[in-house]
Amino acid sequence: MLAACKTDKFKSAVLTVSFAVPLEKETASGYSLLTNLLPLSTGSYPTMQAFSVILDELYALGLDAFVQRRGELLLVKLEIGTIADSYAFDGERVLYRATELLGDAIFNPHFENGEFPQAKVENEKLCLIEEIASLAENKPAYAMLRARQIMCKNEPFAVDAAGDIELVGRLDGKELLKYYREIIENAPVFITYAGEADFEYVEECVNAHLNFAPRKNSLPDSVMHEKSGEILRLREYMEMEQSVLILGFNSIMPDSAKKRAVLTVFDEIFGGSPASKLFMNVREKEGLCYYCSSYPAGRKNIIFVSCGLEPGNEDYAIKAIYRELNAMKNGEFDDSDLANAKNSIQRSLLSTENSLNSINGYILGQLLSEDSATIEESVKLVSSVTRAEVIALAREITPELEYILSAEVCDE
Amino acid sequence: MNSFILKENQTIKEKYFHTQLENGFRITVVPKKLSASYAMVCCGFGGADLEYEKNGERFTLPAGTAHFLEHKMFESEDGSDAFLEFDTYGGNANAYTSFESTCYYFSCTENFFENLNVLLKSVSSAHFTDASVEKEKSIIAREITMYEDIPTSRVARNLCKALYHSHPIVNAVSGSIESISEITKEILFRAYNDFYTPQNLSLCVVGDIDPEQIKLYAEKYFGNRAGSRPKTIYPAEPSTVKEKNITINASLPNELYCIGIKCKPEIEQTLESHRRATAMRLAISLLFGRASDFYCRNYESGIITERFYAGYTSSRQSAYIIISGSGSEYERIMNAAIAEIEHRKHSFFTEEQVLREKKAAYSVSLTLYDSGEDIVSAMAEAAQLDYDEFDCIEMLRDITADEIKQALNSIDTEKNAISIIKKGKDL
Repeated sequence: MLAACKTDKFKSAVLTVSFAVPLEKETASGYSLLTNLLPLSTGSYPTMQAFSVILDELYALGLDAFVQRRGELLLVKLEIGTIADSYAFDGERVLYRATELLGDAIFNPHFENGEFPQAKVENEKLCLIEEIASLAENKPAYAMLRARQIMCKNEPFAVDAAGDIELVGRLDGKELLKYYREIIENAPVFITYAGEADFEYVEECVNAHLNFAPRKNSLPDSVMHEKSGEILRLREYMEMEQSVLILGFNSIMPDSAKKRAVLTVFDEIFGGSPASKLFMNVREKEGLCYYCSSYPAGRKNIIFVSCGLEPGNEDYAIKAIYRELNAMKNGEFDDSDLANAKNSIQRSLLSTENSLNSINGYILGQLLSEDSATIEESVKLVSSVTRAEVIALAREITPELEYILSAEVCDE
Repeated sequence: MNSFILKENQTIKEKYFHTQLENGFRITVVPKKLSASYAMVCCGFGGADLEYEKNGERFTLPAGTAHFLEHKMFESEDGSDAFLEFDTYGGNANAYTSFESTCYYFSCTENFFENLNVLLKSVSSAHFTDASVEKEKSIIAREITMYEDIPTSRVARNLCKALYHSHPIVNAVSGSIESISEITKEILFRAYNDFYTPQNLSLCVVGDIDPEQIKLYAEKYFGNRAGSRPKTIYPAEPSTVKEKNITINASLPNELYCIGIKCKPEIEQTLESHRRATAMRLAISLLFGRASDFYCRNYESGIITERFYAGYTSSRQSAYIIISGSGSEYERIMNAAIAEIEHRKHSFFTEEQVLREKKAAYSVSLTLYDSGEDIVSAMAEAAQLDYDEFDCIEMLRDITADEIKQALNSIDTEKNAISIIKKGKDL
């Protein structure tokens, strides 16, 4: 499935192939390792250096492959960035050649005896293990992952897209081939392009070099997170200077464009912006932290709040955050807060067209969801959100998790 | 549009208008038809401005003063927050401080002039109370400890401490909890009055907006001011490195390293000095970039990983090469990197390799113009200099292999130092 957005605002362009597979603990590591291997070389350019050299010659801004979580889906993405044809010095058809290289990386990987070369696989396993482990260097991100694992235990949503160190360790070239075949032969595939090229030109490039076998492109619906009905409190120690607090809340399932609009407005007022209640009150008035923000988990009935604190202030901060949530439930926000929040979201929606990556992400979203609204429709939906709807949504929100990644050794 | 000078570049099909008020306040307007507009005020006052001279008198500021000011500038006279005012007009505002400057900016899809008014009003006046300064200390302290908890930022800062004896880059831009505890409202007022002067400020706008209108706003807020930039005094810095090795221990999954080679710093930031820095950056990419022999050889043998990075940093009176990554093979990598530099001094790259590197650098620099945020910050910061981004793009076309070779030959590999975070309990 191909979607392209022609825009003359940019000097570069981006072409992405996204495969959608179910997010599962058992298989995520295999797909993740595959994205480490595929962009390194191809059958035509079997060494890393030969492939890097040809990419540089083509003004390529890099061929990247990575995995992304979207609800219970794992997106396996290969993406090439290039300069737009009209900026090439010698009139080259840069997009055509770039698509050819991307196609080569996908359909013609460097194999030895019909498999990924074992030495390369072993090297990439070490790299991936290091990458997964390095998440602990980013304390807020690590705390967020732990909160998701704890709150969504036994749900696919808890799975880390990057993979699991133990499972990566067990993979070999043969095993990887299964994952490779799955994306090449079966997985729903979506191709997106954003840049100056006409649709016909993109289509010509894609038909020539990204010709996938026919397949079913239907995707499963998001799964509801089960409400637990009680608050789980957990504290884990890590050697560091400040503690990270993550609060997990059960929310509404944002399974329609309208619900997503209400949720976004709620979030903007509650903790999603520098004008929000959490920023203004927990950070500015209380001076408790440098950041305190809310994050609705994409396509899931969950909201997280994250905050970095001086050790010892955690309980005080939890109370302060609950106080702000209660204020939302009691409708303690002005009409001007509502109007400003809507403006801010609408501005951000309208700004999608100012970034290649946002456009590319947006058109992929359109391909992936049946209920997705156009930007204009989303802007209108946001306008239509009422104060009563925001309050009603706030009242649906219940706390489920108080997780502290603590800078102080704890007894629990 | 008689007061503005138009500058155009045919290669990248871009243009901008530039002027300055009589008092030296500079204005740059980049016409762009985007759905959002962007504006930034940039002040040439950053984390490295700790000691300065004004009217023959010397002053010293606690480390972190510029950053502290940044935190307080969006506070209005009545104690209200400019963020809320931006929010009223749909403006998305933020600010950042580097060693060289402090920048305040917003983007919006409507009410551009209302937002511009809030931005200029905020930066053109300062309001601090003892209580608000004290409260801000606790917020900034959390920001400082947040960075302390990022090991890549810690290992990089320790490299600066190893390379430099006394240059202000041994401090974090935000200072330390101790240094910010010395900051008072009087210090902030003095720093504001001395550095937020017209000749040290610039405004850049990106959008479909009439430049003359912008000039009227700038005149309203900054037109009746006068003043030049005080002279920053840098402590005498020996050319040698201070310490060969700074190693700390921490509970981490991977060991981290930063290798540095101290280079001859540029005293002034001119087009010529920028050209030498560009030549050095190209040399570093040729030596250690993804298409280099060094990178591919060491990646394929598992000595370096995806996280390997090599670059060159040149700032006011400091310059160094940085090679960083993770894993325990840092000594081997350091020896191999030094050997590679020495080897290439005698066996330089081919013309073809140089051309390819220039092509790759050209692609990357083109992408700057794909983002309103990137354009506004690059142009606002460049307004303080005597060259611009267009000069930099043209430079990439005509810089020669000889210049790159000269840059390479100027590297004195003896002036190396390493910063390491080892696994294990902190000592």
